Amino acid sequence: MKRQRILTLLALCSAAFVATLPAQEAPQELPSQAEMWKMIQAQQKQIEALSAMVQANQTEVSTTRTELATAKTEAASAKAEASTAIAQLKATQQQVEATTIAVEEIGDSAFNMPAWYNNTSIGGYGELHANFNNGADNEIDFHRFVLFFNHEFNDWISLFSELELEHSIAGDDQDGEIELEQAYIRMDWTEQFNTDAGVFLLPVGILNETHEPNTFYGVERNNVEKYIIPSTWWEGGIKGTYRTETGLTFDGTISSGMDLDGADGYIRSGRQKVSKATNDEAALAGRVKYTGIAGLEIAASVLYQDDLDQSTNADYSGLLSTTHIAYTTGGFSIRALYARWDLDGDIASDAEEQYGYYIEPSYRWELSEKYGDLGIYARFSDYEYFYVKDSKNISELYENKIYEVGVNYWPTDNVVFKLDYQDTNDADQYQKDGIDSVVNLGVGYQF
Amino acid sequence: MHPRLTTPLLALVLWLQFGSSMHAIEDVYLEPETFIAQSFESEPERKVLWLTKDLKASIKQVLGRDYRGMRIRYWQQGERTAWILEEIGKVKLITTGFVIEGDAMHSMQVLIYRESHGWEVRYPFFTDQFKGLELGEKNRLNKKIDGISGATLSVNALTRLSKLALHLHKEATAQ
Repeated sequence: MKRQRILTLLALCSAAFVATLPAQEAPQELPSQAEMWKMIQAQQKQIEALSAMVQANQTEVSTTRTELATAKTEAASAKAEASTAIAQLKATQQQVEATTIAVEEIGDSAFNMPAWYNNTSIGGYGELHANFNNGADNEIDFHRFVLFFNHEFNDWISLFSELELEHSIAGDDQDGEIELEQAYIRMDWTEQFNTDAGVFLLPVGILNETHEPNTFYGVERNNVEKYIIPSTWWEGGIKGTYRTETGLTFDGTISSGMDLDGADGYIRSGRQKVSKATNDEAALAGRVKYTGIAGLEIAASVLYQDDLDQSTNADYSGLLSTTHIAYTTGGFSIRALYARWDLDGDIASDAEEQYGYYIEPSYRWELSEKYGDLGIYARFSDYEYFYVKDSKNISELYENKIYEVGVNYWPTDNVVFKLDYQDTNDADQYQKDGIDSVVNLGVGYQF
Repeated sequence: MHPRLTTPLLALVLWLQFGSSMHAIEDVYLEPETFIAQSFESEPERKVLWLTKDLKASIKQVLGRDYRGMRIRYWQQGERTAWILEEIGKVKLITTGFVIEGDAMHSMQVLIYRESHGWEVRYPFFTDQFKGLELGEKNRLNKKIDGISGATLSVNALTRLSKLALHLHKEATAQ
């Protein structure tokens, strides 16, 4: 239709043009009908070509519009899908989070173990010793098997305990015994101040409170602290501890005390181990300790008991004074300790002053991450103590000087193998049994 | 109980009653949230490091044992990360915060300490040693940490944790 209209319009225009020709172009010769027909046919072709182009453009525009609409639809669809995917991803993340928390909670609760499981911890240590005595029988002994049981009642009240089996077997006619070395309630009143009530280790010396085998050199605990202090020494009572940010700690204790019970002056025999202990005389102790520089500990303690022999008529007081320094920098460490008892009253004059000291330099290397550390040490000990057998047939002052060297090997922090050699030629304590030297081997652990 | 023991005991108890402030306090020295807030100038991005098989294997090499759990949370702002990790000292967990920047330890703080001994590990005279620590070849620290007498195991635990924090920082920032 459109085409016919255009053709009709062109024919009319051509007719009008031809009608005006005589007036305007009179002098010129008019084209013939045949020429006119040719011109019309030529124009007709141009019109048809133009018409085809227009139609092609219109089709192209229409196609483009359709494609654009399709693209818009697809984009909207993709956007919707992306939105859905994001929502699903968020949901998945939340599910993963919830699952992870659930799994972690199951892990923490150890498959619904009771509440005490989370607040109770156990630990322990043990050590096997082999003593090769030059001049006497050799010996092997699983000296200590210890378990710690600790419990947090709440965020400021805790129980600490230590149960020990000594020498493998306990019972009648056996060498060993079961001992409750610690069982106290700790209350953290402030960040600086806490109290311990119960059975606790007295704050004297280095080893008395810290004596896990991987924390010291030498297979056996050193004799100065063993016979003079005497470690390990625990009593029942109350202890208060106050500490400052500068590294100062003050400890004060009031507790049950010793009862030498006729063993006049033999300090080590006076430990009652809080076992139906005579409790007529309290022991008062105090310690000041400085640890304000990393690697350094300097401490001094005093302990006083008005009558060390509570069970008999003999009446004599005891004052224990100790001081020590422990310093570690890099692999090098040094420990030195001095301790003395001053007894006053109904006591043999040889027993009135008993003292001892030792100095122990050491060096520790890290072999490798896998194979652990190796340490060597030397120790000189000089101590005098009064020894009385229960029967009182033996009563004498032992003067001892021991020269000692040894090696510790820690394959990991909590396991140690030990070897040491002690020259006991100048030690009465060993000479009475004819022992000139001792080689000790040991293995210890803590967990 | 004998009067000679009873009297001083009573005195001590009375002193505790009236001499101390009598308010219970948690053994939390610094709340973890506070530690994180103090460790960054503005709000850090909270992230999670998933413990893949490979990462667990490398952690075992650093720590000497397996690390429990499926992931470890951490906080990051730029090159600085903060981690809150736990390890047993003697028998109880020590909760510790580490801030690491550019592969070196920026600071370390003991947040919760539960052991009976070794409280010194939470004070600056000990924790300052950890500043500038870096993890070198074979998982060795670039300097030795001096210990606290009576708290050897706690010091060892904190040293191990500092290695772990440095290792995790490397892993997290490499991702």
